[in-house]
Amino acid sequence: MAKRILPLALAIALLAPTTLPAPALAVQGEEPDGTVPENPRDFSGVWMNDNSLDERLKREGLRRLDPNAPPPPPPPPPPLTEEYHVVRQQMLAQRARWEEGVEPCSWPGTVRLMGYPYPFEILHTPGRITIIFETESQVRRIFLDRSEHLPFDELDPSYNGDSIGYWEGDTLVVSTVGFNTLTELGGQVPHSEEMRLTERFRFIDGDTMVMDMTITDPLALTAPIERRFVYSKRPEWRIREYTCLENNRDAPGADGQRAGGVVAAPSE
Amino acid sequence: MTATLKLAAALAALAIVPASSHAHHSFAMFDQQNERWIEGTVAEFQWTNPHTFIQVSVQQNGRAVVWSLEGGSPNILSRNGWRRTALQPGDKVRILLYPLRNGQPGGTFVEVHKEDGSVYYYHG
Repeated sequence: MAKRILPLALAIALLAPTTLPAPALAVQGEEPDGTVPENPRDFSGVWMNDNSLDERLKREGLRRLDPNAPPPPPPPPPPLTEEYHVVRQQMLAQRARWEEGVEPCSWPGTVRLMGYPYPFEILHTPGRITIIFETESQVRRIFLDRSEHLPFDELDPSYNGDSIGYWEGDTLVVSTVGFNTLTELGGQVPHSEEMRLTERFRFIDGDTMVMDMTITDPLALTAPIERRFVYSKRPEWRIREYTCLENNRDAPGADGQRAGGVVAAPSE
Repeated sequence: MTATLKLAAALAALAIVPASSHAHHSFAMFDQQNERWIEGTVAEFQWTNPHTFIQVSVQQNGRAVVWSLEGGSPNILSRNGWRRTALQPGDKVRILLYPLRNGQPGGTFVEVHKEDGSVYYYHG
């Protein structure tokens, strides 16, 4: 099925540093193809991020980026509070001290996980939606049978937090709190443990799903950050295994330079 | 809008979500303005996460130099037609690549041509 991304609209949607007006009927990011889902509340199946580099190149019929294309403009500064602006400068400075391309393989956290260039599988079971990611075999459990988040003393800060979900019409709304601060929002944008995510999942045609994410954080952000993700259903795909630690030649040593890879026994 | 402009716009959009381009490290260490070809013999094909590597022995100035060429993870490559058996030690290959900026014999492969005429692409 031919799909067409509307990159400019998407660019505007994604680059907006502050709250966007809630999209009513118009879908920024992808043109619906006119088909309808069998059951608009059934997201089960394997889904792929339409905005991965590989997917974008395939849509354009390209095998690599145009090396002469102008570099993209830098993103606008994130709406950080003064205190977290300082934190970000420290994060950027630390990154700059590292050798180029060094990668510690930490878990991405929910915000970056939802934008990874790998697929995930959604399972519906009574009272629960579970998302199993190819990325680091991560799992998100979204509780539909609970209307409150865990109490504070049970809410240990974690990479993927505590998620509860409910329906607004055929839109699945997922609220997540309880994040640790070992992750960032992409581009070394920090957040606090007070971060709250609201995700709204809905079909826009028979095999395309849009998720609008709103990130709020009373300590770190002066305004919400809005992002849109577009996913296509891939019934023919199987979820494989992806772990950054298997053969990571780019692991940083204490000095920020590459420490080298993992020694493994012969495989054959 | 031309394809290039559309792609540029898409990339601009993704600037705040860097993980969408490459799951692992930044590819800034590769000089994507200076593609080059090498010819050599596969020494080893590492079908591993987070990146695959083709170790290629290349004759340079009368001696064998091993180039280490990085590619996508097996999940991406397998969806683009690759299998872990795609390259075997001893295979003669011609490879289009973007070299490392630091001048070391390495880079990221773009396409791999085997002697039997088969071609494997990182993307597409």
